[in-house]
Formats: sequence, structure tokens, C-alpha cells
Amino acid sequence: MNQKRVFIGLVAAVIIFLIATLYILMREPTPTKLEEAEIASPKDPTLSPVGEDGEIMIVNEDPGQALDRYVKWAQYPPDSRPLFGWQKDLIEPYRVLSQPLALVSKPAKGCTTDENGMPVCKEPAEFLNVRCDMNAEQSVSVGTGDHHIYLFCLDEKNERTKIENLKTRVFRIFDRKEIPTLPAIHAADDGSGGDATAGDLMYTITVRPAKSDWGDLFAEATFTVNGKEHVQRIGWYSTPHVVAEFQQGITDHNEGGHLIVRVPIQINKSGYYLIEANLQEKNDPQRFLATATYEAKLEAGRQTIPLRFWGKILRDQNVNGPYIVREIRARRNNSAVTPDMVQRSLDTGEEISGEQTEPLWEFVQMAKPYETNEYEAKSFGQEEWNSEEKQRRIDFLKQLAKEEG
Amino acid sequence: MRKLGLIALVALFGAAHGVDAVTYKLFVHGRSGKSHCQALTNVNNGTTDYNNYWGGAVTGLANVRYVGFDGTKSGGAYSWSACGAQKQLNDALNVFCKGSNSCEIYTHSTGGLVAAAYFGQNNPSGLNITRIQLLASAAGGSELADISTAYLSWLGIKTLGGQLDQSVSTRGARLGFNHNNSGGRTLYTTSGEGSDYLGLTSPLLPGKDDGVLANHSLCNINAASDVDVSCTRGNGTMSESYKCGFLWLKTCYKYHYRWTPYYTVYQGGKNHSHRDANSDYNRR
Repeated sequence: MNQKRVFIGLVAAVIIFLIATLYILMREPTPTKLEEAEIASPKDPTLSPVGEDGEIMIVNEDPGQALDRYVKWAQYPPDSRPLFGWQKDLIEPYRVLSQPLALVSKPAKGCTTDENGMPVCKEPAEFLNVRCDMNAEQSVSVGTGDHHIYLFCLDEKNERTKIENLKTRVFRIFDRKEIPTLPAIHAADDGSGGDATAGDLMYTITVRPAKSDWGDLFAEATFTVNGKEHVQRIGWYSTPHVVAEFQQGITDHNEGGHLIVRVPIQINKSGYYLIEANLQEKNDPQRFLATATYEAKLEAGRQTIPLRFWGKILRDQNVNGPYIVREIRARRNNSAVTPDMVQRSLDTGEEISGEQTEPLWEFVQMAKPYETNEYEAKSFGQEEWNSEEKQRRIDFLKQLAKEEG
Repeated sequence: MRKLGLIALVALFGAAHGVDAVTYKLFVHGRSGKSHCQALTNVNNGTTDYNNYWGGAVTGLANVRYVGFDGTKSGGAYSWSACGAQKQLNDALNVFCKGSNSCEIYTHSTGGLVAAAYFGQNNPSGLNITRIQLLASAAGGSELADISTAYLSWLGIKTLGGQLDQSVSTRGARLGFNHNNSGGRTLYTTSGEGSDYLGLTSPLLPGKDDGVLANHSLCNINAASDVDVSCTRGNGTMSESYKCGFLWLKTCYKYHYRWTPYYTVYQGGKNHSHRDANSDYNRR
């Protein structure tokens, strides 16, 4: 009998403990004293007060905190940073999706334009509950091969609907001027000319860029859905010519505690190049480790680019190789002023400028992913990045912290 | 002798001025139908709001300098042409942010793309910058530059002042540089969700917007997506809940991730429009 009572007591205690734990875990966090003071205050805490002289009394971030943040950031160099799976802009660097657009049922009426060119309308436009999605397979095309654009419309039930009278036009824009080019070679939902499946209501527009189609290239589609006319366009960046090509023969080794991946590239057009790659754990395609960037002026001919994945990043993440080097990509900076010129200008105080008579970039076809040798994470160095600029920035922030007490 | 004394006095005065550390507040404007370009060759330049972008003057701050550019120059926000946006910002940094002087940089709209691109494409050394604050930042681009002119005309948008360059399209802004690179500098941002155009442009901008830019740009999101929640303070992941599953009985979440150097300090809500955000330089 006594044993039974003890057992029931124990069970009751465990249940009470579990309920209490669940309550603590699930309740909303209560505000801290500082947050409570902010909430209670009639003044907007983000707004800096104005002093008697009318000047705003701005208190910037505590320089000590700014220094701490910089020191933490600067343990790795700017040209090799940790990489995470949520950094989609780096993992899918040539994929900028456009959002669907609604069909207009009634155009706007009585519109005038304000001084910024924005409309002020007596009767604004009205929209149907039908949206069309138009996106290119990639936001960058290299060469004069086929580039596919996918178009579909969803009705109010969120189901694909038929597109009729589909007409297309292809053009590029440079310096805010439209320049016509060759028409699309196919635009239909017929399972041919680049369209994967006939009748799936996913329409494919196939564009074959011409040699002159360098820069911002657009495909514009005009069509009707349930009798309503609609027009939508999608743009991508086209480099029809081959300024450089990645070559076979990538190698890798541990040098000075860092992973160095040497990437051969044939440069056809000399200039200022930006070459980047991502590093992933071989056995987990979702586990990303680091980025590496190399930028320099490159002469025409075969070059070998040393991409350096900073050793401490790999060591800190404690992931053994082999690794996959992926998104090995390059672009030539065709700007009239390149980053080396910018730094020279800051060093000398010299003014720099240059007219932009051609598009800004020339992209290079990505190299295939590459698998590295085997490495133990602990074989990489623990050394933090250091440079003259890092020391200068730290000195500057320390000085600020000192001045502000 | 008197001449020598005068020279010595002038030299002494100059030297005294040379050691005076000044923190300049640089203001970089956004899209405009006018050119705001003025030469920036010494610290006495850029003292006026040329062609009136900032309402005649930025009030309440000392040592304000206006970095004006001509948005119609080839390359738009990336332009190094004479009076181009990058060229003017580089001139300003060279003049105001070196030696014993330092700078705070405030930008509005496209000005945010100009500054983010400058620090994203270059790793400039030798500059003393104590703060960069992007008001209603266009660093993620605007759909208004993506959409066909025929469609825009149905909405009553016949022209766009200063004509939107492809640099401010979502693709142009996002492909132009690595937004995660700022050389270890924090880019503070502010925004609102009001509209100066009675919501006229909102159907073109996915999710919440301020009439000119969608929240994917205003909240520093690393994908041009439909962000239907308000920017939260800081740099953390933003989550958006929606009903899903059988009979929509489940709650699912969509996550929005931000570029690493950016930090939201203020979100002004429905009464704070794109234009209102140009006075957010006093937000912390």
C-alpha cells in the first residue's frame, strides 16, 4: 500500500514537472527591463532626440561593440568567408527569380504624373485573380546556344490555365535604349523546340542569342488568357562571346594551412577578372563550408588561378574532406573603372572616371564541380587573417572607443 | 619680415585646421528626374542640396555634404562616367573620409544600391567610415524596372522620372556584386510600408512594399522573393506563417534570410512611405 502511494506520488511529481517545463518552454519571452522601459516610454526609442541648438543628438553604436564585431569578422579574410546553406544568392548565383504578375482587367484612367514620374490616377487599374509567371532558366547566358524561358499562368483556383495568341519579341537594352534583335526560335507548349512536354500548359520560349546580343537581353510575350490581353517580359544577362574558358586539370593541396584549389583557365580577352567558388562537404550536399574569391588583372593565355579557402574556416567547422568545389565561376569586369583603379585613386587622391560605352560584364561558362583530395580538418591552420588594413581599421576603432570614453 | 610673419601665421592657421578632425555626413540621393551632380574636389564642396532632392537641406546635422550624381549616365548606379554615381561617391570618400577626418554615409533608395555596390565590388582601404545607413534601400532592386513599358502604361505609369536604368532592376541590382561583402562594415537600414501612390504600384511589388520597393529589398533579403511580413530589427532570419496541409489546418512557415552585413534599425509601418524614409537618418 505504501509502495503504491509512493509510486502515485512520484508519477504526479513527474507530471507536474513536465507541465511546468512545457509551460516555461512554450510561453512568450517576457521583455527585459530595458525593453519594458522602451515600451513604456512615450518617445520613439529609435529616433534620436534634438538638442536645444536644434542639432540632432545622435548616439551611434558603441565603438567598443563596433570594434568587437569587426575583430570577430576579420578573423577570416574578405576573399574567403564561411558559407551557409541559406545563402541562396551565393549557392545559386545566377538565379534571380521574377515574381508572378496579375492580369489587368481594367486599365487605369485619368492619370497624371508627379515630379518623380510616378502616377497619380483618378481611377486606378483593376486586376484579375489570374497571375502569370515568366522566368528564364538562368539569369545569365553564355554563348549563342539556346536559352529557355518558361511561361505559365495560374487561375483563381491556382491551376494552370491556357495561353492563347502567344507572340514574342526579343530585344536588348543598353544605356536605356531598346535595340531589336533576332526573334525567338520557338514559343509554344507543343513538346518541341525546347518545350519539354506538350500540353502541360507550361509554355517554353526558346531564344538563341546573336553574336551582338551582349548585355541585358529581354523576351517579351504578348498573349491572351480567357480573352484578356496581357504582356510580360523577362530579362537576363547575355554574354554571347567567349572571353575565357575553364580548362581541365584542377588540382588541390594544403599550403600554409589553407586549402588551395588551382583552377586552369584560358583567357581570350585580357582584363580584370573576378573568379569565385563554393566549397561543400562531399557527403552532405546541404552542408556548405566556405567561399573563395580571386580577383586580378589577367593577361591573355592559359592562367592558373589559386583559389584559397582559408584554413581556419575549415578547421573551425571540423569537417573532413574530400570536399566538392562547386559554382566555379568567373566574370570579366568591363567597367571603365575597375577595383584596382579605385584603390589607386584612394591611395593617391587622384580623381578617376570613364565613359561606359559597352555593357559592364562578360560572364564565363561555369566549370564542372570538382572533388578534392582527402583532408583532415585538423590539418588546416588556426591562424587568423591579418593585413595592414585590418590593423589600421582596428587602430581607428580603438581610437574612436578611446575618444568616446 | 612682416611678410614672413604673415606666411608663418597662415601656415600655423592651416596646420591648426589640418589637425581638426571632422566627421562629415555624406548624403547620397536616390532616383530622380534631375541631375544633382556637383564637383567634390575639396571639403568646402557639396554643401548645398543641388536641384533639391533632400527638400532643400538636411536639418539637424552639422557638416553635411551632398553627394549628387546624374542617374541617367550609362551604367546607372554602377556608372563611373563624369557625374556618374560611383564616380561621385568615390570623389566624396577621397575628399571627406581620409586622414584625420571621418564620415557617416546616409543614402536614400537607389543611393543605397550605389553605396552597397561600391563596398561590395571594392575592398577600399584607408577610409575612416563610422556609419553607413541606407534609407529605403534599393540594394535588392525594384520590380518597377523589371516590368514591360506596355504593362506599366496600363497602370498609368507612362514614364519614370530619370528613367529607371537596368542597374536598379532586381536582376541588375542582385547580379552586380556580392551583397555579403562590405569589408566588415555594417550597413544599417530603415524603411516603411506606406505608399505615396495610394497603393497604385503595390500590385507590381511582391509582398509588402513602400510604393517603390518591395520588402525583399527593404529588409535586405538575399532572394527577390514575396516577403509578406514587416522587416524585423536586426539581421536575423524573418519567418512568415501561412495555413497549409489538409483543409489548411496546419501552420507552415516560409523563411527569409538576409545578407550578412545588413542590419535593420527601423521599420516605420503603414504611415511611413518611400519618400518619408529619406528623413530616417536620425534613427538608431
